[in-house]
Amino acid sequence: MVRSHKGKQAFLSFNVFFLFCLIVLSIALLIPMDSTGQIVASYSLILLIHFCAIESSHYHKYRHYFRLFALLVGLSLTLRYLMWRGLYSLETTDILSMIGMWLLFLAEIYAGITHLISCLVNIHPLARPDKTLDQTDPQTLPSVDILVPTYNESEDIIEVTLRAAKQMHYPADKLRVYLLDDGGTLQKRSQQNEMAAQEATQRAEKLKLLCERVGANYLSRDKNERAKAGNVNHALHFTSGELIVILDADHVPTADFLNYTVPWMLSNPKTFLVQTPHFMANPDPVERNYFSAFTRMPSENDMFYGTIQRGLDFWNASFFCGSAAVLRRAHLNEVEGLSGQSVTEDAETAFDLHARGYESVYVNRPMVSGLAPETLDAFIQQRMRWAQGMTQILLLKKPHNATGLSWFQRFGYLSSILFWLFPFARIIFLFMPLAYLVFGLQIYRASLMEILAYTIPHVIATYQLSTLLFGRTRWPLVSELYEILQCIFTFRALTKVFRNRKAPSFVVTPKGASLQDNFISPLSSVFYALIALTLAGTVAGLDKLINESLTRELTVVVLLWNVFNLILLISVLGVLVERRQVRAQSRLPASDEVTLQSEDGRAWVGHIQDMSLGGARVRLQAKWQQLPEFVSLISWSESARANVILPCQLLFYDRETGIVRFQFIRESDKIWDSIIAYTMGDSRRWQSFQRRRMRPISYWFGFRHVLKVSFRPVIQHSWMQLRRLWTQNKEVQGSNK
Amino acid sequence: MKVILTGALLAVWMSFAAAAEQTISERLSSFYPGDSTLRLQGQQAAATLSIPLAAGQSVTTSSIKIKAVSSRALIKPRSILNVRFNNATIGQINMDPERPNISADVAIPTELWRSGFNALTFAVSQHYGNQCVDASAPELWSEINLYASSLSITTENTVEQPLLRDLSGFFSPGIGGQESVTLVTAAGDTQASYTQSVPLVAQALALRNQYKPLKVSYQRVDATSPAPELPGDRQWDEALSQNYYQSSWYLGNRGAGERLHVLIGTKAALKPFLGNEIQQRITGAFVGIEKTPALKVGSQTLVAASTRLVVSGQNAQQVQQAALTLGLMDDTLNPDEDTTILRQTTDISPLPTNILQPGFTYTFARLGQADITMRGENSFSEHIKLLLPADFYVPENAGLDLTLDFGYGAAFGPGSMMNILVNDELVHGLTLDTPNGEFFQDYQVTVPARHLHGGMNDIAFVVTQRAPVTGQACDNISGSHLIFQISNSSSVTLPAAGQVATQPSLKLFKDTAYPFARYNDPNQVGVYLTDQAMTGAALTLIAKLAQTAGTPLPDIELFAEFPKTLTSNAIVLATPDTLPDSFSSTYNASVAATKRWPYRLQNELHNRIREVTKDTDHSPLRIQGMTEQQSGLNDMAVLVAQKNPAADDPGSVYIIAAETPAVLTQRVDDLVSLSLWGQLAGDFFSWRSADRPLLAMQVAEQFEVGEPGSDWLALRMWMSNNPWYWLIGVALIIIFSTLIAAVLLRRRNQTITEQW
Repeated sequence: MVRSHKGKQAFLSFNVFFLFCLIVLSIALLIPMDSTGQIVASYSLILLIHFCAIESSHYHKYRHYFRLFALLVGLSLTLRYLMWRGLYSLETTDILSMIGMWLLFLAEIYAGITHLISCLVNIHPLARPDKTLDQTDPQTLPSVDILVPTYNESEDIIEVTLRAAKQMHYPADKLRVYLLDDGGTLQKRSQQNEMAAQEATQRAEKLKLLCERVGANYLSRDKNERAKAGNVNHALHFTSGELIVILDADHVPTADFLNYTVPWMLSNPKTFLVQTPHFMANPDPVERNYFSAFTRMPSENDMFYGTIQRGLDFWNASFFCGSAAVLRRAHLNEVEGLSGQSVTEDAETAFDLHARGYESVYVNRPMVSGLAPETLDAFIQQRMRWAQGMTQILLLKKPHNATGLSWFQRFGYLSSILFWLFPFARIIFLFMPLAYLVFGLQIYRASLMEILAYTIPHVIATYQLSTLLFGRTRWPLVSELYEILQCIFTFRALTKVFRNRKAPSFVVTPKGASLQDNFISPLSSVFYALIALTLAGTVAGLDKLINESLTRELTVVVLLWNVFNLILLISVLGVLVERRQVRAQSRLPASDEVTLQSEDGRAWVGHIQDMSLGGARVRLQAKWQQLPEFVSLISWSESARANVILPCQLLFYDRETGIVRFQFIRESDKIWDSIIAYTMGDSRRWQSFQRRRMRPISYWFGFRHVLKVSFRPVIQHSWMQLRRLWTQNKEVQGSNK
Repeated sequence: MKVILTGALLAVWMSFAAAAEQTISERLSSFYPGDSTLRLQGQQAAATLSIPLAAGQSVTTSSIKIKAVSSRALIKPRSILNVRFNNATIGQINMDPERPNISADVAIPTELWRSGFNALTFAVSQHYGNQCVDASAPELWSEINLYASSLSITTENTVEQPLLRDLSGFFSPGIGGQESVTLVTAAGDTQASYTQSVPLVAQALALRNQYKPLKVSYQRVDATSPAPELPGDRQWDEALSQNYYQSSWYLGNRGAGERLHVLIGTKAALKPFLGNEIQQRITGAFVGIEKTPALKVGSQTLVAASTRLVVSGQNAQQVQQAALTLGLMDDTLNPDEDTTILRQTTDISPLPTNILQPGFTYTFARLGQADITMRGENSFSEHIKLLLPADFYVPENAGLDLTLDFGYGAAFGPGSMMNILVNDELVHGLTLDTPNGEFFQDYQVTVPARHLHGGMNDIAFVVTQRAPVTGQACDNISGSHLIFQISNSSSVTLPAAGQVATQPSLKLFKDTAYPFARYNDPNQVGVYLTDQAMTGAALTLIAKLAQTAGTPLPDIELFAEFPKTLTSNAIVLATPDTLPDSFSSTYNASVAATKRWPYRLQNELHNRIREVTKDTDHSPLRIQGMTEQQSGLNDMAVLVAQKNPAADDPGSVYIIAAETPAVLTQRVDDLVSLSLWGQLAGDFFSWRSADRPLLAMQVAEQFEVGEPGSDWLALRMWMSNNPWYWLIGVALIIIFSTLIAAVLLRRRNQTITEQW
């Protein structure tokens, strides 16, 4: 991307200059004054950040100045805090306190560094224009192979993906779709477990038939080596397309996917990757169980795809995310296909190619709709793999010292990798208040005035900058919730990597499950223990507050910190109640105009409110109508570029409001294609949905929201656990009789 | 046993007239630092009052009158109030439940008195039954009304031929000590005697008085003054004239009531006032003491007998040297009538020897503390005093490290504990609960340095020792086995500090005499008078400053004039008419002829009245601004501390103003009393008597002065004094950085978009 020497120099200058400014500012802020002066200065700067952040959110000529100004001030408050911590607050008398104090300080340094790098990376998220193939001669277009690796996904899921891939707007002679079946390899078909071998054989047969039916190619291999990376690399030997699109089996592409991505490959031959966002069509367990606000608040990965990848893109450091991306075969061949040293082959491959001087592009247009893990178990499993993989890259590739990468790319990779070490810091932040409140360890040596002058401004400034950078894509406290939810499990996974960096193996994230009943996640016991500990800490803290007047100032602060942890832990309980989800596909909001037509020619006009592959909900303009059971839905399909007529069966009709719910009838492959094209093929639909839920909220609103939805699950857990015990007891009594 | 060591602190209230024989009666509450009721609780309890007696005094008669109340629950034969004096029982008073109000006179045998502190102990044994008495039962109590109880004592001076070592007897905080002194100089003597030597002598004598204020008066005498007329038809003859000039004739009647006065000046100037013998002994810097006879004509005493201290020399420099020696010398090492100073260290800076140096470690032994041992069942309190520089200035994070070697014996009962307080703030506590006792070596306690301040700091070890309980009725264990020890190998490590103080601050002034007591400041401190009649007041104040600093302040000079440029730190004594208005240019209050009172002062007065009268009809005054008026101060005096507008270098000026020199002298005498001096605060202080201040408040913004000692602290001081510069600096850095960063980012963005 940055071709000219001038550009590189400019960027290097920026990095050096920015860090220099930060250090100068931090020292300027650290210069001691009386406490009153420090407090007044700190809070004046916080006010300044606040006003600059507001100003930078308005579209005008100088908004970048305000943004930079706020970032500089906020980061310098953080650096000032860390310097103050290191210089003045690390004195203690006993060895245990010293260990606790240093652990806390290291965790704070970690948090500070990740925050600093994150701000640097996201200082100027790149907004690329839409580039299309409209003006390009079809004859000059490169050939494209669409590779859909699969391992254990259901045939239904795969079929939708394959059909959608076949519908892409691209010259048919230059587009080939391949299903890479790792669930039906020779190794799987001839395994010792006969039943499993038989299932693998049957699955392979079915998938072959499916490929024949939809016009895709079926590829499999002998051995399941190197998981997904090995599967793709194997396919590279049997395919020849100049460009390669990799789609996970549950990632349904829109028809315009290649239209918006391939132009970036054409314009710059050094581009090895065009990555697009993963748009999740269903809520993850946190969104479903806790917030129940999937359609109203930003999704978890919106922060990564909506902000961070754009930030990385500015520094030519956006990386491959395993799916929904176009890769150039020629560049892939140079590194012998996807890398496979780590379990996150995607980021590793991008790392290797960036190190060779190739460039990446991120197109921020959701054109692939995937499935988030439905259960908490699956969710945690997926995150553990990401954490392990990124840590493997850190240990194996050492991005901070990698040759071939520019400094800003190193920062980019470090930002993404270091984030995954959060379990260490989060666990320390959870347990350190207890070390003080329960065991009396001197973990923090500061007076209340110092805490007011240094600590609180740092915390406020950090939240301010987070809101400034990610306010639209991440609501306040949501990150903390996700981190607390994952930290214990991910911590265990990370320690494995640190013990043996090559130990982890690729585990496919289970998707597409449906939950028949509400139940408490089996992971809950860890959180019960944590809540009990934190509650004990709160009680001990209150006792300390009343009886130990000498340390009252510090106790108040640590107690508040502990209560904050307690609130977050209680909030996590909400996520641990796995809610019922029987609908196979999540319905997503839509606003298309439709006409419902009966067999006798009567027609009703209305607007779609939401829809999925299975059906839709429409509000008819006319009320108090007599609707037949079977109707046809007529609407314009952007992806098919024609009107579609979809047969439907009426499920519900409210005459008073005009609301109609119906399901699509898959009468034929053609209808099925039309349904897919209509419901899943239009990227504008995903774009509009994403924009709708990306709305910034104030910190207090976020905090109130978390508080509001936090306490009901406590009762719910108690009730469900009691009911479980009661049932178990009855069963035991029954069996005894 | 409850020991009250600081009981004598309030002894300054005593008005003992120094005379050959004097009788005084003093309330016992004067010797007790707490409130005037002494409560003795429990089966056994005791409290001790310290009664100081000046050296050179002999007690001829003494007794105490005791007023007390005892619990009606006590039984008569076994409940007794014992009165002990220096550990000898001098009285036993039965506590009768039928007559709980006790009134008793107890004679103190004169032979029990000794110079220095005498211990008057009230010890009770209290019982509500003949057996099974719960030692901590609430009904076991008695109260001694110290305010109503009194000590009557008659003393006489035993010093016939005074020597220099007796000086500490003349000037002593004890009974019989001198509380005022007259300093005399000769007219025509060098100005330096007045400017430098007289203040030093005042300080030297005040230091011997320790905490007890010394009122200093000043007299300039003229050798040409004619002899007074003799009573009746008696005429002056040669013998009478000779006797007259051998007496302290120059004092006239002023010397009456004072046992000792001081004659200061060069040998030549003092020649008319001294006898030949003593004149011949003045061969250098000279300090001598002699008794001058009385001159009686018939039955009338024309000149009273007196003791005079002569501070002299061949020249002004020697006089100053002698005066300084008087302040530094140890009286007990001078068993002579006079001494001549041959040599003296040229660069005498007495302050560092008394003041602990920041950054150093001091063992308790080095601080003059013996091993501390506490025995028996009781609450004990032991104090370690740390005298820090007045401008002790440390970063907020600095800490004081206490490294303690201590231990306690076996069988401590529940409720036993050690608490450590620094300047009355609890900083550490430890329960003494190991059955077999414990010994700690290098037990570390880090105390935030913010608990420390310039001047005297107090570390208190408060130990409560309780005997174990058996849980059986009538089975009390005596606590005689309880023992707690702190070794004097324990140490205190002071944090490194700069020398910076916040000014103006009357609190710092009353605690440490800052900014007039600064050992690292070579500059002189001028005390300026607008009228020479205020010299006595100025000397009284200077004497108080030396007492506060605990050492002579040789840099203080006295000027009976008011130049345009003052020393950077200065004291001005003035009447409103003589005080230039320029002194109010940088201050919100003016005590010059045209008064300017800030509304805050008026608010304060109004709101105080409102509070006293519980007036809820009117809201408190919150007016800003000031008013100017033509008015007098009447009998009120005002002390104002402010930035010095009349100095070349930055510093503070402390102005004391009263309507006339006489009123000012009286008010300064009030000011140096312990009751009023201890209440100095803010930068504006007014008073009308020694009882209580009229007003104490902060009028002007404070600023920091001094030498930080390190660049870091220097920066801190500068920043604190100039926060706006700091804010502007930071803002400029941010704006500059933002602009450059934005340009760099734009260039980068341009490079990217060019490729699209």
